[in-house]
Amino acid sequence: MPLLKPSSDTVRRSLCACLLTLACVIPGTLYAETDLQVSGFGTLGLSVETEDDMGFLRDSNQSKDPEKDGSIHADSILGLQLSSRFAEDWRATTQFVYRDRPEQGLEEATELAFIGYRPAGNLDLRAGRMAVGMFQLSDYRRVDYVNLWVRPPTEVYAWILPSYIDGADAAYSFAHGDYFWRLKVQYGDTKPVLESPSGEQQFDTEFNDFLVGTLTLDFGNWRTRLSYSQSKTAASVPGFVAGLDYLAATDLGAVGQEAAELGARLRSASGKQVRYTQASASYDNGDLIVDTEIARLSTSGALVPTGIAGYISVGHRFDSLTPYMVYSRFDSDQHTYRSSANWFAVPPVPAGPTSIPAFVFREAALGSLNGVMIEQYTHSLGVRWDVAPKIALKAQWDRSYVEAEKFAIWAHRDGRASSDAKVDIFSAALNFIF
Amino acid sequence: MMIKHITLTCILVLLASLSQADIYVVANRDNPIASMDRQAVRDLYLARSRAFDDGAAVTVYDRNDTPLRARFLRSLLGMNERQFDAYWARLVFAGRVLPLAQAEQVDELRKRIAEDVNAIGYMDEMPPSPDLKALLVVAD
Repeated sequence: MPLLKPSSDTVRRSLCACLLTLACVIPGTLYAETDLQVSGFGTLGLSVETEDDMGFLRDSNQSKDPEKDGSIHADSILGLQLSSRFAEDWRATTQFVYRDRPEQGLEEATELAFIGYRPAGNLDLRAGRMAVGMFQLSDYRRVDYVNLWVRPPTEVYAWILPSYIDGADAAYSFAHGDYFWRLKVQYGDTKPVLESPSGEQQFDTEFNDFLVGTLTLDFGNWRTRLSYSQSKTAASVPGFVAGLDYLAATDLGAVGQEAAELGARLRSASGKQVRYTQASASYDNGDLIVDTEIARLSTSGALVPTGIAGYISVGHRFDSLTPYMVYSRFDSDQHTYRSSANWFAVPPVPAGPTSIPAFVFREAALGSLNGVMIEQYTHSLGVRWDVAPKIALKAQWDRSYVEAEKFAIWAHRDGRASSDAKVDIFSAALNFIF
Repeated sequence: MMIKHITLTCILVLLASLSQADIYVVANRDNPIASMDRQAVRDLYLARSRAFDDGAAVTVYDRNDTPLRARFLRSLLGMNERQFDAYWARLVFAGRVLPLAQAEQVDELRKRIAEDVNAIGYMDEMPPSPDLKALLVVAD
């Protein structure tokens, strides 16, 4: 659904713009002859799925094509990072990422651009554009080489729209023996672009006043993490709500009542808070690798998926080969909106010189309200082969069971979501870092 | 007599081979730190600390593409090279730290550390240069 720009803090945005510019310029110019460090990552991936009228998405903010069954676009990615220390305690980092997204441009491709300052050995301050650390893999979810799988489990990661924020963060860390603690707080805004499930429309979205608190503890072979994040969405009222208003005013029967209820729900979605609570643990003793994560998603009324999401993954290294299996699921706590009135029986809604059938407004409203919901689980089997230093080949088979009306992380057309789906996805990927 | 001689020779050869397996964590001769314990060096190579005890920021050198690297990472961190590369990739691409400094050849490492009083690195021999000193010996 289209979302409005909220009242913005011009000073803060100007400051962010300046920092982004500085972070982009400093690594490439001022210190080009001293300690500019160039690094990068990438994936060349191919994924094929078995449903003709559904399109697989790694991220819900990728371009969507329900008819596409095989593609290199879902997982292929290229990232280039420039870093420089330009004074004793100061550094700048910029990361450009080319991947499938609704809009391509320098603004969209710049996923990191910040100035970092370390006033003390265990305190890090950053300002500019940074990854928003809502979940365990959020800081490096595009860097597939560091993970065991072809991609992070989609039940937990595919629906996350914000990947970075423009703002600031502070991290305090300390080590005590083998125990390493890190506490981080982030604040900022982000405006990801989203396509409709059919890929025919684009919407601007906004997450404002994003606040993230993270506590991590690493010890021995364990990495553990707890986090809480909250933000406010900024939403406009979709244009088709005017048609619902017309029906609510002119029809005194069941259609008018449903139109009023749907319109009121859509109007109430703006400015609502979204909250994510997350816990994760990873174990790696060199042979056995176990990862698990669980997250609770809730909102005071925004149109976002809510419920509980999580996964568990087990792998074992046999020299350069690491077979693994994953089970992940998203349990929705949202009830599907349904219509029982006969919208075909009421007169069409006037629209200039023509008119639009009433049921069109019903479908648009139900699509917006139900289109954010997720209910599915996936079994995955795969193998990672570390073929050379900093290069890995992976093959993975996923079988996903998707519940009707809760297709938010799939490309699909109207009507497809009315029945359950069982989808197989076969993937191969070449990951590298440099 | 002959048996005793052979035994002594074998012991010396064994000791020599053990000695060759040691890995030396080295720093600039003028660095005020006289020695470091294993945990302190581990913390630096895991980016858990980025400064010496006196607060000076450390430049940590890695030895990419060398056989020594695998031994060092296994002995000090209990990691193989792939685990270590993935560990650092997480930190670097999350923007938490700058990449490790690199010195593939030992001569290059000697030169860099001789020029930087706050740098540390590792090599498989006692620092031959008077500009360097060993802070820790890691037994392989």
